[in-house]
Amino acid sequence: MKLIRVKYTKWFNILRDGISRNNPIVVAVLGICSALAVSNKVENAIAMGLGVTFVIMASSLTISLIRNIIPQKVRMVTYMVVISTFTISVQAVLQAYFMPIADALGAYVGLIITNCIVMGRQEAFAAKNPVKYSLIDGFASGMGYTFVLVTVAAIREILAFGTLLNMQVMSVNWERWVVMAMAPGGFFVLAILIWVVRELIHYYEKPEQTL
Amino acid sequence: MRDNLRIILFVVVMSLFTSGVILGVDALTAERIQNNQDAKIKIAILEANNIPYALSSINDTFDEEINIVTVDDWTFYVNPDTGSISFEISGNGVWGPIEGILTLQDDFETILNVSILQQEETPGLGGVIAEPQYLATFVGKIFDPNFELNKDPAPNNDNEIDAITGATNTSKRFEEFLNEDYDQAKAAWQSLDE
Repeated sequence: MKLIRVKYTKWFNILRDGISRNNPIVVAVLGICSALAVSNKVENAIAMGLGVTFVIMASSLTISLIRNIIPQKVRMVTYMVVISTFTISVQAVLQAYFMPIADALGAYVGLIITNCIVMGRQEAFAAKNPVKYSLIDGFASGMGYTFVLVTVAAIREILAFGTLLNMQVMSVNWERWVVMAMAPGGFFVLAILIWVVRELIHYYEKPEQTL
Repeated sequence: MRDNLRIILFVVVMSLFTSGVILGVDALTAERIQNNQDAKIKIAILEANNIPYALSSINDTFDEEINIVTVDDWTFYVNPDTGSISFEISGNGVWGPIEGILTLQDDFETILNVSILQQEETPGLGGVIAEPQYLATFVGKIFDPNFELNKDPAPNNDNEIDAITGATNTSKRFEEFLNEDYDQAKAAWQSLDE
């Protein structure tokens, strides 16, 4: 009985939308650059996904808190500054306390700043909604991103290296698909995944209206 | 006019606040980050020399076990017990700088260890350069007079190892600066004897 009611609560809908119907990568096609760059090994994909999720949630929290006093004209700059602040903090904390993860992610942590998903959620959601829902929305978008990243990474890692999370899953004689480790492999897998997911959730883009 | 004032005030307050946050984070983490960087070099050198250490007392162990010799721009880390010599190597990879530590035996020719401290190569391809299994293939090889990362399938000579599959450019650049740094370091080291 309770389960059925959960389906109609706002937070559940926000959560579900972020992961499926409004998935930032599959539906909005945001954050593609980093999705291609860090998705050839599952461990990097997980770390990057968590980093992005944290930055979205922290930025959404802040923006949502001050949403009523941000002047309309400088709102984009405000988002940018807030996002940068959190990204720099994440980078510093990783380097100080989680050196191996910081090493593995290299320059990508800094690039969270340029991830359009973060900016997109601030403009589309956090700037208009209360803190509680902004946090859930940030979490949902982050998880949607992480889900796609990890799925693509799992396919690429298995084909490119015969491993999953660095454990051997294919036979030792597995012929490595080197192309899967490089950018073109990311494009192929991501495109196929986007197609499959869009079919599953019946999301079709309408043809543009021509005059 | 009032609106503009409000915007300016907001921007100033926001800048002060975010700068404050960043300064705070920096104050909390800067020392640790610097220590981590220093520790990375020390760990690499101690491990290359097979000297056991504990992370908590790494500075003391390093000071006790390793002598530091500076010649021109080169810093050599010498193990007085075995005579082995470590020094930093660095150069450009495909996507960014590669930095590492090269440790040679007392003949200044035989490789005892190569470790990579920093690299931004393609994960899984050029990134293999930092993997222990790959770095292990350097051990025991000799600079004669130079070193090669070899692409041909013929068996490797004493001064050759296999290049990284699928990462021709990383291999080539690494080979280049490894040899360059070795030549310069060797000249500096020999000037010490004269």
